[in-house]
Amino acid sequence: MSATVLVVEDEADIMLTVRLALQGEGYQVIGAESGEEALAIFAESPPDVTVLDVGLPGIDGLEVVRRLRANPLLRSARVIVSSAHASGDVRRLTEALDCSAYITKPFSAQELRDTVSAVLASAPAV
Amino acid sequence: VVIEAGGVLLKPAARAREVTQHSHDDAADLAGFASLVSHDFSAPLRAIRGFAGLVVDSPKARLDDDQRRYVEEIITASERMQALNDGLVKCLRVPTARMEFADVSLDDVVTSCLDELGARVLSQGARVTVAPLPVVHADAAAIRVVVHNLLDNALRYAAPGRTPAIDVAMARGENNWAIVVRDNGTGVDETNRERAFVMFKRLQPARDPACPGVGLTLCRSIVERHGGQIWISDAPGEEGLEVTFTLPKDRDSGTGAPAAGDPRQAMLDPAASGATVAQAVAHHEELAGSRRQFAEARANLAAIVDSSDDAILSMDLHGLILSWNRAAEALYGFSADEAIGQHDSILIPPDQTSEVPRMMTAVIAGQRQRLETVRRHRDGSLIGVSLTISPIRDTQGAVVGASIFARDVTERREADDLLRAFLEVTPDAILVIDLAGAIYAVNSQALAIFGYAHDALVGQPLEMLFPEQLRHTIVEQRRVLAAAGKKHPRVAAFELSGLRRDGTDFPVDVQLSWLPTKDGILPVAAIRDVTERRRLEHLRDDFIANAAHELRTPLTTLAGLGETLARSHEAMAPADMEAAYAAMARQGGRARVLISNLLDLSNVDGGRADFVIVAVEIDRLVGRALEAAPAPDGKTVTVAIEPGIIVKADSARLEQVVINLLVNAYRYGGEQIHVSAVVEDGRVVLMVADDGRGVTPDLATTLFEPFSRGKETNVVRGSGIGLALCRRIVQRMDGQVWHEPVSPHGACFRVSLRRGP
Repeated sequence: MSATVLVVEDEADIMLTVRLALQGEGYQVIGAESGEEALAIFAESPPDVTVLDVGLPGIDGLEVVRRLRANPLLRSARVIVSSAHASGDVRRLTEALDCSAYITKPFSAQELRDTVSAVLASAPAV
Repeated sequence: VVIEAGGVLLKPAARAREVTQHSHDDAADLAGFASLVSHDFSAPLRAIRGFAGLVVDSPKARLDDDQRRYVEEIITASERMQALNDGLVKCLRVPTARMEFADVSLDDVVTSCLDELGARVLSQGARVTVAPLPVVHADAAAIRVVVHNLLDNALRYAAPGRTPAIDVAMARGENNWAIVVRDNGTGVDETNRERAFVMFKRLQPARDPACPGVGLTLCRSIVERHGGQIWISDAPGEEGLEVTFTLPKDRDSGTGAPAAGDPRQAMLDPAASGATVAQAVAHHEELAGSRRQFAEARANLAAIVDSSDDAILSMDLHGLILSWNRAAEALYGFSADEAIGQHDSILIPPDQTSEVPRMMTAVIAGQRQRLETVRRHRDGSLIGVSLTISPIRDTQGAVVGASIFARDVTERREADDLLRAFLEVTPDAILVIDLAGAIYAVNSQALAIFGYAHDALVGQPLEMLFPEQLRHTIVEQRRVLAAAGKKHPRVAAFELSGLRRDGTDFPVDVQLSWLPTKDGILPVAAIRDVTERRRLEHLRDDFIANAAHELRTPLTTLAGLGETLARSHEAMAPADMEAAYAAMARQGGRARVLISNLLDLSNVDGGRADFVIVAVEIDRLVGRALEAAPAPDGKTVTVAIEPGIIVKADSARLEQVVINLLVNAYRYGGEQIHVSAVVEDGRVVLMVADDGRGVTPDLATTLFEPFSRGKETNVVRGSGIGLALCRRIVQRMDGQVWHEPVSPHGACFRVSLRRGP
């Protein structure tokens, strides 16, 4: 059974790009347009890995990770953070929150596929 | 007393000749000597007068008529000399005497003087009219001397064969009272008027031994001590003259009293100080020897003075020139004969006259001054001079005049002016620091940038212009710079914070270097306020970051989808493939619009784009814009523009603006979009209004900044610089664009343009 990837992204064309890149590799891709929607999906059936945009309307990507880490059942979820901001602050925060990987937009499909497969091959976060 | 006085009967007479001779030789001597000898004169004169009187009045004298006449001549001459001496004493005393200022009724003063002169008024049959006069703030006795002298002169210089008519009148100036004493007497040539105020200068032969020739000199001294002026002018009629003196209305204008215990008081008036005639005689004997030495020394000194390259002149306290060396002749163009006895105003350009009273006040106070100023050559040309003005004191220490050393600095001033002009044209604050670290000189930008007045900055440590935490750095750098020294002058530059007087700090670039000055090589700090530069740098950085940010979605999409399609299009569902191509087209288009808008903005901003301003019919232009950007499904555009409204604009650029506003309305607005135009005050205002959610207050302030954007209602985002571009374009066409909210909701963008013919 193929792995499930949750893609949290508010820009439709980016979502399409990520979805098609990962579906081509045989992953099951679930999309969420906001942090709230992502948390609802986690509550129902946690994915194997999550590609999470930081800049979301409503609760942002980092807040989503904080809430996952606060939940004993979800704290080990593997999260790949994607961000348009290459600033050190965001990167340090994602490290502090035990995120599995960090990719900066614009990223290539190759980079995305490699990162997802590497994270899936690694041990859970916590 | 008689015996003591008798013992000095002859010697003072001999000395009187000597000194009198001296006085004729050189007016300069007089100022120096007069105060010395005046009190010595009094006692012997009294003795001459007394003994001569004894001879005449003695029944045992048995004088024949000739002998009696000779002795009477001696008495008359000695009386005149006494009057002269008294006048001299008074004149010399005035500049430093204690003045008792009080409210004085000039009416009372004039009445009292006329009472005193009553006999002469009657005998000459003079007609005297007196206008109502003010109450002034003055020394009553001194002012009485002035009024008495002027009335006395008016009677004294009556024209022969004419009934004297004397008017005393008053004029009220803004700050001064002017009192005029007018007569119909013999008058004074215009050329001699200033000389009338010279001591012992009589303009007509003395017919009266009681007239010592010091009256007007004394008057001038007194009036000046009151802060006023005195001058002679023609009477309005055909004959006579007017003497006018002014007194300030302001109570504080007098030059005040000298320090208590002024030695001059005792010197000038031995009786007042309790000195006996014997003491005066002893003093005189002592002086006689030193005077010979002085005469020799003086001859040497004169030779030195004459050979000096600096112009050296001396003047009395009224500005009358007493000596004039060769260099002065060369510098000012006046010969010694022409200059001596003239008022120093011949040297002073009209716009520099205000510095003279200040200069003389300092001289009287015993201060030495250095002054760079401008003087006038005989030919009228201006000379830049450096003056050193020192008080001349008599042996008792009293100030009796001023010496002036003058050096021609015209060339240096021109160079200085040039340097100063250079310092003023730079936008930097320039501060010259002395070697102790105090601010030595500044330009006006330094004052403006840091918010200080000139005097609050000069003399202060440079560190005061930097925040506390940076001060040690400044001190250290100055030390390093000083240690590197003049051998290896180097320039050091720093990016620091400056501290304004109001306590706020701001970014500065400081460059320390060296400036050769007449006081040595001094450090110079050139400080530039880089607030604006830093702001622009931030703007530029933000702009680049924003532009890059805007490109990330198109690039991620294009590259990601392209690669995925190339890699696995065979496995892809047709619907996904279709969506992928559509997304690529959309994002490629968005990147193109962004890049072209960025280029446009850069061109319009940088002034590189050519604008062709022509008459444009606004309704047609809106029609063309709607063809290029038609309303999408679900949106309706209504246009209400009278045909024939013409604006002055670049047609293509304005169309670009209207398209931008329409697309914004499609993107952010509701279903109804309304375009209209009105003529207001010679301008045309074009409006694009929508009924959407409107612009949020936080966005309203930055609406026209690049990359400021609201929440789109449409999937496709704009470039983020549309409105910024609109604003630049409209500004280039001498127009304005702004936003106003629409009630109950929606946004209206207005473009104001010049109306065409």
